[in-house]
Amino acid sequence: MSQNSEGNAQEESTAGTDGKNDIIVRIHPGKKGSGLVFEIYGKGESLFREEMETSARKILEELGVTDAVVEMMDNWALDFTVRARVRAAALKYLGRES
Amino acid sequence: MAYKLRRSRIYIPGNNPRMLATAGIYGADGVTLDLEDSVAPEVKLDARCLVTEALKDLDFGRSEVGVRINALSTPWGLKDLEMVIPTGKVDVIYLPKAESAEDIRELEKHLSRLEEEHGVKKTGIIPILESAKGVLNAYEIATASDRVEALSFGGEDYTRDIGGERTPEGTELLYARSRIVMCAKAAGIQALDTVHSDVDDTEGLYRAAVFARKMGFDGKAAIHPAQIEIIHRAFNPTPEEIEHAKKVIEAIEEAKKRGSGVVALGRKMIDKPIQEKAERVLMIAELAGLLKPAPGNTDADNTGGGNSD
Amino acid sequence: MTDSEIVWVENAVGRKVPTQWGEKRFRPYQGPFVPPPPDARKASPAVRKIASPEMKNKVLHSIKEAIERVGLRDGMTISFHHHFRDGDMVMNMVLETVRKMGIKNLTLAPTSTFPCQADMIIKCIQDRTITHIEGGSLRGKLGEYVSKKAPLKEPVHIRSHGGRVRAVMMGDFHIDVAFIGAPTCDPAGNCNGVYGPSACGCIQFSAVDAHYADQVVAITDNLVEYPATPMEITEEYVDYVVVVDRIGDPEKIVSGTTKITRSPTRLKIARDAVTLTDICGYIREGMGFQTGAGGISLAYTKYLGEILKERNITAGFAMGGTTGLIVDLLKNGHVKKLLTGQAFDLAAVQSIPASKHHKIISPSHYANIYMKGNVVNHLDVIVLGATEVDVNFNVNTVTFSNGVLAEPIGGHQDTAAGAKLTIITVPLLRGRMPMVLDRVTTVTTPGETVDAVVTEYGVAINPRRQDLIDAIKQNGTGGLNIVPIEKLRDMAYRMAGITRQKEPKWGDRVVAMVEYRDGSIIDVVKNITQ
Repeated sequence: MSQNSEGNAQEESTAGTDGKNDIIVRIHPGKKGSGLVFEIYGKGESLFREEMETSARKILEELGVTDAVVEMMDNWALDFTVRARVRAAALKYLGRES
Repeated sequence: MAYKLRRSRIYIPGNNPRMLATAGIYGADGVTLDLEDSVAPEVKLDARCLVTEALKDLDFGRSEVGVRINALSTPWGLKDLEMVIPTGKVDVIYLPKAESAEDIRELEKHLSRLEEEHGVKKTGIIPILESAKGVLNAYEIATASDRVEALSFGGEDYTRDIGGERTPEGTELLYARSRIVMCAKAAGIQALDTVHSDVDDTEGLYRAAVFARKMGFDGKAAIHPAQIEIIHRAFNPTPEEIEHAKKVIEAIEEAKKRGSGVVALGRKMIDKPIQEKAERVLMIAELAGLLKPAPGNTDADNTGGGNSD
Repeated sequence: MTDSEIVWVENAVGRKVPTQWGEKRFRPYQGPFVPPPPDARKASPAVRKIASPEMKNKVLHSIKEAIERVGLRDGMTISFHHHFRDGDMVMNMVLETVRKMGIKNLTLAPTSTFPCQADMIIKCIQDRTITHIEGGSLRGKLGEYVSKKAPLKEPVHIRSHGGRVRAVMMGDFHIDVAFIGAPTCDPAGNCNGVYGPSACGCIQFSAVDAHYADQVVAITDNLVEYPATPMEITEEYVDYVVVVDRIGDPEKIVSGTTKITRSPTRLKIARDAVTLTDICGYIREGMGFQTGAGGISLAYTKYLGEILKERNITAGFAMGGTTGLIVDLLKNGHVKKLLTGQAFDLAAVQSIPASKHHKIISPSHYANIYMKGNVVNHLDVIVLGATEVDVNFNVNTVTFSNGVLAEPIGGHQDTAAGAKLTIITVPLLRGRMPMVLDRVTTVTTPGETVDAVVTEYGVAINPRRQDLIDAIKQNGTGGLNIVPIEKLRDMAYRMAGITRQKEPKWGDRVVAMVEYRDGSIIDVVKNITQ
């Protein structure tokens, strides 16, 4: 999926795999004014939900992503992986490559 | 510049979190975090981000940190640089499909700019010669910049490029290997051999690594952690070589003390090449941690020592 | 149990444990080698029978009949061994029969439990057939059930191999009826685990039960003519022999072969553990060692074997759960003798009768601390796993980091105390969870008996062992990354992205008491809230 003609955020952007120590991150547009809504599932959810959300927020705020729903399906991803997959999904969402 | 031990370098697929996290535990002399051939086009961005974040967090132990970016002629290569260099954690960039001095200069331009912009250390370059043109232009590539620390050889792609076929004897690669070694050493830098793809063939790997060492290569690439120890064993000086080197140096010191210009060990004359070889053996042995004490006999799996910190 | 009926004190590893629980009294853990109380005496079973001629044939044809004959009643304690591992059928058959007969409030005293028994035990707890458990251990589904539902009035007692034997011997709990799955048995009750379709190597875990229970029922699927040999348990102790079709599933009793791990990180941990053993100076002629049957342990055994071969030295003995790999070391002359308490694969089972240098050892001889000698004390090196370790080198095996009951103690406490070099091999993280922590969730084995922790990222030596630190200075590090244990913890926390350890969501009911080898309480486990 690519950017629409106005260069606005895509419908949905995904990064990551379901492999060991990985996490699938999917960002899609949310309601206007809703800020960032997190839906976190998977193996690390019960113990690391807070850490995952904090790491994700930092990156999304840095990149200027807002009014979006962020789904995370975790398979014991370490922090660097969470950050990376969020960043990649966010860049795709914004139509950027780096 | 100081000699860096590069007996082994292990390729780590850049989109694999688990393998990135464990890359540094195997004691390889270098890790090569790969954004090129092991990463499918659809996930180049994912891998780029993953390697970047990995560089920020992970400790790679004693291994030199290398990143194999995509060729600058692809849509991805420059973007790879723009994300990984600012971390300040990259020691060397492996440049695939290097074919001319111009390729190196182009890379250097981007490196200088990014290093200055982000205030990070100077990155080395290790071109990968994996085509007929690349091997042909080996010397000009080796001398294209003072950042070039070694020439490495990509045997699979080279064989494909020349329309040859891989054989166990490796005759199809003989000239390319010889040329790369020759050009690298003429330029005063290292030569690094290609991977041994059959992971289960440990005997074959050892033979290939010994062969590479005798041809003048300084090291060989690994694609599986189990290969590292075997490669180190092949490239480490043997206890006999170390003993002999020590004797040579002793004889030289002796002669110096006596004020004699002629040095002999037993009935053999020691001239400059022999001295240089002995010094090189001891330097490598030192870096490889082979001169430190060890229990039992000198054990084969003592892959320690090295050049980091 | 109200608060006033429980008295808590802090023990020698800094954990709060009860010394009083209603009418029961317990000792807090004070150290690894505390002598028994001055008036201690062994317990003794009832004497009710005589060895009359009728006792030549004790054969019955149903478990129900045996239960009626022994007069099993509400409130009694029944025991089982775990030599059939996940292929056991004995416990389920007996419990099913007991349930059908409507007998209630039994105490279950297994030497350990396995997944195939979980559903039955849970059913029995739910309908109050079983109201107390004297461990052994809880794991898997059963462990989770007890941790989350806290269904038993009194805490389960979790013990090591040596600890359970001591507890039975000292009468800490009394066994009314011991049910012994016997792969080979004669009509008078002489039996062994060596031969038969359900052969499991040996049935030594039942030995102490046979000697101290009031009554003993042997259950066999292989009745042989008198006298059955060897006689691991003799007719002197057996009341009845029940013959059934099958007592175990051979495929699950022992593996065909135990396979070494292929994971590069686990292989590295094993290799580094061997290197550590070497630089500490413990690889030597006549050494005694024990490893387990886990993937890392097997690889350790393999690498150790290679060094023994390379240096042309012979180990004195190998102890423990035996596998084909260890049997090969015996066959190839790299180890002189094998001492077995459990067999894990077919090769081990077959080696026992075949080799005069392969001996069966009772868990009492192995590890019962209230005896005058233990095999564990002769070990030069033991390699053990863990669910967690902490910066004081305390080790956890009984709970996971979320507080759920996890794995048995096995011989962990026993071997760690006895061996000269105790190595814990553990990945730095499991999933995203650090395995090296500030404080283990539950102390199982105290840090003063643990000498080194080997992870894939580095090795830490207990500062108490200055002698090891000196030996390494002399022998070199062998390429190992030796760091303070705090550094391993920091590395783990950093990779997991946490600054502080995560605490389980504890409830306020004690579901298990973790005993040390000597019966003192080293820690307790509470229930967890959802």
